[in-house]
Amino acid sequence: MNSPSISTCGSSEHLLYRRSFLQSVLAANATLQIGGLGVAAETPTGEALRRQQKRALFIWLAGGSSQFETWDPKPGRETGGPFRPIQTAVPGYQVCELMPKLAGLMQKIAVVRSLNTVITAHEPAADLISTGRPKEAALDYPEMGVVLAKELASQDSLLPDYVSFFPATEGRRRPATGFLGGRHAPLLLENSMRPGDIDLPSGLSDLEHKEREDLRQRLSSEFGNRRAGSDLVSGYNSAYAKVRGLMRTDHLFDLDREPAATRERYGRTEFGQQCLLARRLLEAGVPMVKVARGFWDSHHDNFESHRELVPDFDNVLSVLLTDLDDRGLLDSTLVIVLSEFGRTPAINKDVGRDHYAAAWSSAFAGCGIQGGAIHGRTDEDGKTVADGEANASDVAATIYTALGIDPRKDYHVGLRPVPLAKEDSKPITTILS
Amino acid sequence: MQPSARILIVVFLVTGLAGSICSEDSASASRVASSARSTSLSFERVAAKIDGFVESHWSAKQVPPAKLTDDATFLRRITLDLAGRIPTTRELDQFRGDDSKDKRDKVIHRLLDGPEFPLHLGSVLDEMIQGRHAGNSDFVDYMRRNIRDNRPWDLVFRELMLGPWDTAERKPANRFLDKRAKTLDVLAVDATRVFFGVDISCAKCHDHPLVADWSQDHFYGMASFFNRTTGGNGKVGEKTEGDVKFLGSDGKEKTAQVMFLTGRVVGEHAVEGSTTDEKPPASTPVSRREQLVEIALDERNFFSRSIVNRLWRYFLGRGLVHPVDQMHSANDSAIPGLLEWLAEDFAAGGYDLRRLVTAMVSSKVYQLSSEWPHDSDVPQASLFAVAGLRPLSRRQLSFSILMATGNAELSEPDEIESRVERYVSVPGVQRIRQYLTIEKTAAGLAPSLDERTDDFQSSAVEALFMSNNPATQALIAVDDGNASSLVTQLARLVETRLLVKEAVRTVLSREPRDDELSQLTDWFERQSSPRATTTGQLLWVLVTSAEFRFNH
Repeated sequence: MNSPSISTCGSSEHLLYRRSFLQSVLAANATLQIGGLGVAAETPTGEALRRQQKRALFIWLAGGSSQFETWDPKPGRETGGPFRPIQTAVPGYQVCELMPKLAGLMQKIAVVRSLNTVITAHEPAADLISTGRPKEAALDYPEMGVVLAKELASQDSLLPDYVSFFPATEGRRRPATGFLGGRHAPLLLENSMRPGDIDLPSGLSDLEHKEREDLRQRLSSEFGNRRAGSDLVSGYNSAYAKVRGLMRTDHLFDLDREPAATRERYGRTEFGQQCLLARRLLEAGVPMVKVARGFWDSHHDNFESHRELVPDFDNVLSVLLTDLDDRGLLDSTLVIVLSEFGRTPAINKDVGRDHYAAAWSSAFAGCGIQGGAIHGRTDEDGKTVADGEANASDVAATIYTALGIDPRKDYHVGLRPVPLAKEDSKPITTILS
Repeated sequence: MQPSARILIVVFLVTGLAGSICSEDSASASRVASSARSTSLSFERVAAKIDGFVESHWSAKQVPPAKLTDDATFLRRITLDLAGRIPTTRELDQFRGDDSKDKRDKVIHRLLDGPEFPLHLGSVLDEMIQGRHAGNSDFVDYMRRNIRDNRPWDLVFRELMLGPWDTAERKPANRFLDKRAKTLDVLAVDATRVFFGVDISCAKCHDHPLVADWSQDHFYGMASFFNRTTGGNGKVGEKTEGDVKFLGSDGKEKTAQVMFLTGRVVGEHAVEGSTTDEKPPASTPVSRREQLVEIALDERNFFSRSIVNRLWRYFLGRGLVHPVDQMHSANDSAIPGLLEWLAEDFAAGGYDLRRLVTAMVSSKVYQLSSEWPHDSDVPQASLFAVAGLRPLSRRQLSFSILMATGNAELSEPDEIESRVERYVSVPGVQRIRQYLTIEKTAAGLAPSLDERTDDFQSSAVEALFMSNNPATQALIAVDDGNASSLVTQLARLVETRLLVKEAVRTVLSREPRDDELSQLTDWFERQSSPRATTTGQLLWVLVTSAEFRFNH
């Protein structure tokens, strides 16, 4: 497994916050738990390792957000729509007026304005962007978050490697584990902000729950002795060994532990509260989190819907980035804002914008990213990429590189070597620090 | 295309198919594989042949094999493999009580002749063939009937590829093509993997970079057998024209030759753009899929080796050629000569799946222990010198969990039921009903369990589900209203040792060892919870133990 370098990520504040966070976790656990595995068993080595840990947060704007009403406004053009541009903290770069807070934070954010990803149907486009590759008949690729979780996870962690929220809207796609298999499936938070199956079964005391697991573990280990396939037995036992650790993470999912002021800052929207929860998880050491926000598919009334959606996005993302930064986590956390595609320059008869993949934008911040870097350019109407064209594979290569993972690293599927990012991909170096 | 032309072609296709397939095969449609048995080797001879190949390989590699597995483990293994569930305590006792020398053969035949084998193997084949499209009850039932009636594998293949899909019974057979017809790549690649054991997808954009056998010509050659196939809406058809064109790695556009994996090229015999209503000569193949079936069954090595290798993986944990869709010259079979011989025997014997299965499970190599008794390291899996642990499939596991916790009824027919079965001439009809009932309940548990794959790894999702989910906890809960529940019955046993013994027998399908009995009894008596609660806990421990999770 790749071992992250300390140079890009990790700072003294980070250290401080992690320590105080862990202390509060320990204090909380002392009242809850009796012995066993868990955070309490944390060793200095584990702490040191986790300080260097890199993390990633996918913010998935499901349905396809409009680049015109966000990162790539075209004021005064027929394709530009009614909103005005505003100046950002990066000289010479303007964004849509619906993002005043992010405009002020642009020195932390990098934007790629020159994506050309060709596919304009939701499902295949989402597959393309989230795996970084065109679909192949005989090989199911894992979603990038699944790969990142596998690459970034520390082996002894009792936390889930990947937590994926999806709201009951267009973001309803479960991250595919593809050829990596079910073991790498994310913990899904579907209709609830708490994971399933982490509560003690009713009618059972914690002691009874522990005693039966201890016996189960003992019988199973004995069974594995001198057995062909004893590695399967130890894998099986380590999956069960995770159970009580995961049950002890229930406080992580409890937003009532956040100060009311923080909850207000993120906003009482589903997206806001999910992003706050995402921050709690990242801070505790979950290496990969995905939050999806739906309703961007604005075939009708594009401007009305963006007038509603973008300010919430502007608020939540700016609060989140600031919060991560204040806690010393931004340097080690890559935040990725992606959609399956952008929206058409042409405004249709329903005052909507349709699917468009020939020239659109995405944004990045944090670990490995050069804040304030603006890569690529579209023509004056936003119809084509004028400079710096990048495709889905390039985005994947950029993400891996930003996190210090070699995009050419091979996985082996049967006899076939499969590099993390497609063979011909090129990282977008302009936005890398 | 002109409307009139389209109509003509439809007519032409229907008559073409009817003429070429039905007339030729009306006899073989009712052909039962066992008819070939008289001229082919008995399953005992085939099993001995299998062991001969394997034993000489062990000698050559100087690896001593593990011992034969004990009777209880054998019974559990064979019942899981042929019926998809653990044995009942009644079956366990019957087997223990049988002193005859051929008791294992008797069990094999009892299971193969019983009603559960077609139900289970039909599902196994459904998953093998359909992959992500598995689980459609019409198709599953179609496969189950194929096994029940012992229809030869070539006949099933022919029906999947060509039909006729004219009756309610045969209609589901078009589902393999129908679910894939919208994307030519998927259809060509899946068909080649499933039926011929070759994954050609790497040869799409360039000649296969690792396997010299497969070039772009093979990929597009195989695709050409399917490019005229239409479907995706429940109706599968085939156009009479259209070729596959592709960009060669030299950047030039080429028209693909219709070519099988062996390199054999098929000529174009179909009448071009038929504007006449004259029937084409009967010998003229009009369907490219029909050409594929003819060529594949004529060549027959790819076709027979693929299914033999896949069934070998099912019964012995990994393919003789591994992975099972990587049959090519650079990927040798694990036991030299065995796959080739077995496949040839299978083809020559009329593609009789039942005979093949019987031979595999009657072999010694299938009946080896998973415990390694020697001082040397446990030998690698490809030697087949010791039985590897095989994770239970979702289906086997969910079924077995229900049985082990007393939540499945699988009883012998009573007097009335026996009379019903004799009257309707359907032996096992009660068992079929019970089996399908359990299957329905099991389907509720299955999605949370780990899927069996070649590189199986346990997930925390299954462990959490088994540890905490209300649905799994209910299986071992004390149900005061149900005096016949397993927990209540066991808890009523006054002597703890007896209780533990019965629990081990029910869940692990064997008698407990003495040390184990003492260990579990001590544990049981140390618990301060009510007796029935602890009984439920004990069942949980046994059901979630590694011994239960794997076929060993």
